Amino acid sequence: MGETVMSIFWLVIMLPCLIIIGVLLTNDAKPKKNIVLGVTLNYAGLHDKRVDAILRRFKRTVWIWCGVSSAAFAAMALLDMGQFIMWSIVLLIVAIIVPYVFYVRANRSLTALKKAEGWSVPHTGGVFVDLRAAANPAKPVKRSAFLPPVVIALVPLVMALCSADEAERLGGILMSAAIAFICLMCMLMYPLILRQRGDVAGPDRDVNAALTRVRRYNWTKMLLATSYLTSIFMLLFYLCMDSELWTLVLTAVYMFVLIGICIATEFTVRRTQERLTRDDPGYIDEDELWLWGMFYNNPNDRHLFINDRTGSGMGVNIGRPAGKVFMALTAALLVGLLVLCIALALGFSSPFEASIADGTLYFSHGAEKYEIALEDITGLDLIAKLPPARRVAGTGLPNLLEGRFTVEGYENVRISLNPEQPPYIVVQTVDITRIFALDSSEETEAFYEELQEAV
Amino acid sequence: MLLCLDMASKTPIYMQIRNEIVLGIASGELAPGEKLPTIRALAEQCGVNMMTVNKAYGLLRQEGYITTDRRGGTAVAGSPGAGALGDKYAGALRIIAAEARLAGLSEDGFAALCREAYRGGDSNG
Repeated sequence: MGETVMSIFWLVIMLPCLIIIGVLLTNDAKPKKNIVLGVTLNYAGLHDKRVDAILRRFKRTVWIWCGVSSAAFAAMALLDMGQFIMWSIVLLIVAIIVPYVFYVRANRSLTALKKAEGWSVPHTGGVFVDLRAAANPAKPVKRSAFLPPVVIALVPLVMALCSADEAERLGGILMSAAIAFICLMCMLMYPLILRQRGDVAGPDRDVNAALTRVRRYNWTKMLLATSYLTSIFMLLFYLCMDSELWTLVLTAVYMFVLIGICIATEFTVRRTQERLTRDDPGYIDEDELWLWGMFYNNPNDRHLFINDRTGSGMGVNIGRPAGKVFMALTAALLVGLLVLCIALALGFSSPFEASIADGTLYFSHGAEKYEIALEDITGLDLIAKLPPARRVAGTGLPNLLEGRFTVEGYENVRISLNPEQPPYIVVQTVDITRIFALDSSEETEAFYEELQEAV
Repeated sequence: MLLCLDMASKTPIYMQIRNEIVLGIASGELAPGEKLPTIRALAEQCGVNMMTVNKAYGLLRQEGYITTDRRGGTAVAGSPGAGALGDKYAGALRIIAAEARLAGLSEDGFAALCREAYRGGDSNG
């Protein structure tokens, strides 16, 4: 598949992420349960011109940032495919984090204004529970509804175990494990949703019960849909694994449908919260328990996971030690991902280098480095065309194939080459087959001759 | 009825739950026969240990404010209706009255406060 098509495909995936972030954050500026940008305001506060100005400024800044980030994405498309993908992931992470800085800034401005004006609601601080709503919970869905996707997950496993090809077997087992993991997570997450504190917007029991019901109903729908969609996608993906086009199309469809389901869930819940509490003068204020309006911080609450006050999301209680560990791990993961992407981007742009010294062949390209003793080489060849190959683990880009592949006619193969630049050198030892090339065809041919003489 | 718990308060959580339910019954927000959440459900909703809720329910049951039925669950029993305060609360009221006297509050002023607090229960109903 061409580099341009891949770049467009990647842009089509990345750009909506920015729009989604923009829409989600700016939607937080609309009052739901009397909360705007994580600050609970009473009627006077919600209709104050200064509040309106802060909200408008916030929305404008977010959209300007999204526009700038989108332009940067488009400019990056001019880079090499590998570098484009890696740098765009780095940019995406930064582009998602920065608007939250705007959010915190607006939240602090609103909090300061609220404090200065003394905008208070009847119930401030503490934890609120609607006794009547808690006494009459909605009937949950049976756990067995989550079982069929887990069963579907077994299909690739059986097919993989029956396969004679080792790489295919490994790929199938990994695939099956991935499906089973996602489906199992959906199944295990469901009781967690039911155990969450119900929504409390005020003294009206019916409104509270409706808010809780809407949240749980939409979560149930989303978990079931994710479970079924993932299992069907993975099964189809496994069946079409040989076709690059179909795997790409399936992945795109799966991602768009999945993101669509999540967004639909979020906005259904938000719209309901907005509608049900539109005329509510404001009763409950839990702002003290929410750091920057975003992170729940209550050491006295046993819940590790906690519902966001608005929308359908869920966060971690950073007041608990496990919550702190969770947040630290998430931050570490994010930083790790950034470092990995930067390292890979730099690795992709590094040259292919090969040399022979002291009876050993040395090869390096980014993180892919190895050496082979010349006396261990059992076969050496220069091929003009790469036989049909399938990636098991590694990089598969239009201009770079690197990692473990299954290649027709060879056993246990590791590749490191630009598929648009033949020929390729095949070095076989008892344990492994290496196929590689250098930066240009001339260099590859010259090195092959040098290697042939040395062997 | 909204149950409000102040997690930072020195009053134990089980006592806060007990007090809130008593206030709810007195104000009429919780009607006799009305079902209360199960111990597990209330503990999950409040984010507290089940033992805490169990202790609060145990106390309320002992005082006659709620009843527990194996099939019907926990429900509001209404006011115990003894027509008098127990020794514990009469003692507590004596201490509050003494403090009011020491604070310089007149008898009428204290009585007005008591009346207001007493009616607060009825007037919301």
